[in-house]
This record gives sequence, structure tokens and C-alpha cells, in this order.
Amino acid sequence: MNGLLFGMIIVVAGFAMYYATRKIQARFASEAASQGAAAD
Amino acid sequence: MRGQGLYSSKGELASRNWKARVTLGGREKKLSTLSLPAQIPSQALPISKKRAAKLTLWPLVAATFFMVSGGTYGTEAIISGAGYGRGILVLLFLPVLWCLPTAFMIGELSSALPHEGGYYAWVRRGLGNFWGFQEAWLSLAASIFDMAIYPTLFVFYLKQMSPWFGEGNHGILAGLFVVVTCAVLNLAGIRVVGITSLWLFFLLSLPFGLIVVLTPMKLGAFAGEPHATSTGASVGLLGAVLVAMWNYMGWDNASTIAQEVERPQRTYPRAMIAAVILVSLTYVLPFLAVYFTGTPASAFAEDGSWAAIAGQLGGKLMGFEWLRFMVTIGGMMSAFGMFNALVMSYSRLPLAMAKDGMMPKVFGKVTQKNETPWVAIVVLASCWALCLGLGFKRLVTLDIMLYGAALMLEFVTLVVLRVREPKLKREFRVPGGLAGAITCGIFPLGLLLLSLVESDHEISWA
Repeated sequence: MNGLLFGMIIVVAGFAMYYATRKIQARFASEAASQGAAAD
Repeated sequence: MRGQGLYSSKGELASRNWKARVTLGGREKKLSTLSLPAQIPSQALPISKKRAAKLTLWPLVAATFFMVSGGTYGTEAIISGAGYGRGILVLLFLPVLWCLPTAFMIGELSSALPHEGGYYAWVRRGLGNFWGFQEAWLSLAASIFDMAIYPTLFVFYLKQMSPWFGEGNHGILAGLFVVVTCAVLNLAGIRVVGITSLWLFFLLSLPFGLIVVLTPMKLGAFAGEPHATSTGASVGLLGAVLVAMWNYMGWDNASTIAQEVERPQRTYPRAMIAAVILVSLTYVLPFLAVYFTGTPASAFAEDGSWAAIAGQLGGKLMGFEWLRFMVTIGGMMSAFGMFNALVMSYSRLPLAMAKDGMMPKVFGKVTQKNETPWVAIVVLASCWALCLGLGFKRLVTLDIMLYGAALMLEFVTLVVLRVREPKLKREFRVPGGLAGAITCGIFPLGLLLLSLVESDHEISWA
């Protein structure tokens, strides 16, 4: 496969991945913040 | 940590950090720390109170050397494609146009924001969560194609010494040995990786140092000698430039370990400049030396040609091609060293992302003794090990595209942070003020565009 095309697919997959995991990222973020606060 | 003085305790700091996110409605785009004071680390998890062993200047230079180059190996196509004159010019000019601007940018950003995750943390701070995520994604996606190459290269050189490794699954097992050993070295801590890199650098440079030293005794000696030529097509001048760009990229990989480097604000700019000079010399000097022996450029037509050329240059000692043997061993060390240093670099991305809540917190787990991100190392090493049998080639265009996109995000971040956070303490600055920061990215951008527009086919080699 052409390197440019394959590269474009990977870039677009990154965009999709970000939006697909937004909700779960918010949960991770709240866990990380509460763990950080608790550790202190 | 002047920023921490603004709050009564680190707990209050962490809780305010979280409150800032909540008051912004929990929208992911707003989770960036842009609105927080510049000196506050972006990661929500606290920095460990225990002081782990840190990386000093020269081990960092050696680790950077392996993240970028790994020595003279892999540069053969530059000379066979462009000839000695143009090839050496490409190798001399690219550090100025391609590496120095990148080294300056990394010097400034790593001295201003010496955070775990390096380039990911800079982009997230400058451009927000979305682009921070993309920066890490591009690097980790590229690593899948990149990291499978090094064990393969290790086996390539190993097979030259013992064809037994070419039979059955022996090669795969040898590649697995590289992955497991590097994972174990990384689990032992950052200083172990740094010191290993330093020793590997000296050892793999030795045969090329001998090539340079032996040259005055062999001036013009091989002008008329027949040399093996490639059965494949030459990559040409543009291909040579692309291969050279590929050989000169990866400077930002060293930034991900910033919190584990001794005085990173001072150490990074010096390490970057030293590594640029070192890498350039390891590329140019051996080619210059071989040129004076009269060896034709076509002798470099195949990957791994250095071993044959060294064998001719060193001659036989009691029937044994000693210099060829040393170059072959050096090739194995180069592949091993690159994999080892890059495990260290890539494994800090999931760690930093977990701390920022962009990946599961399990990736934030570190060993008690060395604060090594053991979960990230084990998971990434397992992924790379699974790719061993896929037989990837060095996909130069793909690598340059993914790396180039990530690099451009970093140059944009440099300018954005200069505008948005002018008071951010920077122990090193790209010279020339804001204009200098903008201009800094122009040559790398031009080279990237040229390489992508002009390369209508993938350049790859096993």
C-alpha cells in the first residue's frame, strides 16, 4: 500500500479514536484527579 | 516548582487542578491546563517524593544518539543513490536545515516544560487535549511499524555470522530475545538504559573509528577493485535525501523522559546540540574515509554493505576478516541499542497519558525502586513482540509522514506557547524572538512537504 495513503488512514484513525473514547477518557481523568488528590 | 507555592499544599493544587476541569463543564476540549499557571505540571497525579536515579548529560546524549541514529548503519542508500559528493553534502546540510531547528525547538520546550511524556505534554499544554492525544497517537502508531524493524535488523546481522539463525523460527526467537532483554533493562531503570546506551555507543563506534584510522594506509587502494553491486534499483538523489531525513529524525524521542533527567532545563539543550554533532560525525566521517580509499559509491548499493567494505579495508588476520566481524557485531549492537532506547522513550507516553486521564490509570503504575512504568513497558513490549513475525520493512515515506505530522504539531506549539505564555520560564530560547521561533519550523516543513509531494512511491528496504 502507498505510504501516504496508509499514513492518512492512521491520522484519520487517530481523530476517530479520540472522539470514540471521549467518554471513557473523562472517567479516566476523574479517576486520575481523585487518586492524585487522595494520594496527597 | 514555583507554581506550587501558590497553593498551601500539593493536595490543594491537585484538587484545584480538578476543579478547573469540572467548572469547565467536563468537556474534554477544556481539560487542557492552558488556564492554569505555567509552572504547574499538567499531570494530576503527584510527583513521587522518593528520588530515583536520574539520567545525566552523557548517558542522555547516548540515549538520544540511539533514538535518532544508532550509528552509521542504514546510511548506505544515501551514497549509492546520490554518489559520494552529493551524498556527503546531503549528510552535511541536513543537520543544519532539518536537525538544528528541531534541536532548538526541543531545547526550548524541554527547558520550559520538562514534563513526563515530553512532546505529548507540550502539545497538550499548547494546543489542548485533542492535539495532545493526536501527538501521542501518531508516535505510538508509528512505533508499531518502527519497533519491529530493530529486532529484524539484529537478526539480519546475526545471520551473517551464523546462518543457523536463518533456519526455521530461530530468527524470530532471536528477535524475541532482543525485545525481552530490552524490556528487562528498561524495568531495571533509566540509568541502566542510559549507561547501556553509552557503552553500546563506544563499542559500535570502534570499528568505524578503525575504518577512519586505517584510511591513510589504504589511500586509493581499492580504486580498481571489483565490488558487488545491487540487483535492485538505486533510490536516486531524492530517495537519498529521504533516507537521510529518516536517519536524522527522532530528536524529540528523548523529551519523554524529562522528569527523569538531572536538571533537565540545562541538560536538554546541551544534549541536543551534542547529539546533532555526534550523529553528523558518525555519518560523514566513515564515508569520507572510504571515499579516499577509492571504493566506488556503487559498493554501498546494498543494505549491510558496510560489513563487506570493512572486510576489504581491514583484510584478513590469520584468515579471519576481523574488521568485517566487528562491523557485523556493531550492527547487532546498533539495532539492540535503538530498540532499548526507544522502549524507554515510548513507554513514558502511556505513563503521562494515564496521569492526565487520557489512558487507563493502570498505565501509570511504576516500580517502587526506580519509578519505571512497568505496565507500559510490558504492554508495549508485548505488542512489538507480536509484530515480529509480520516482516515489516522500513517504510520511509510512512515513517516520515507520521513523524513529520507530530513534529509540525511541536513547532506550532513552540509558537503558540511563545504567544500565550510569554512569561513561561525558558532557560533556553530559540534565537531571534518570535520571528526566530516561527522561522525555525520553516525549513523542516519545507523538507517534509518536498519529501511527501515528490515521493510517489514508498521507499522501503528489508
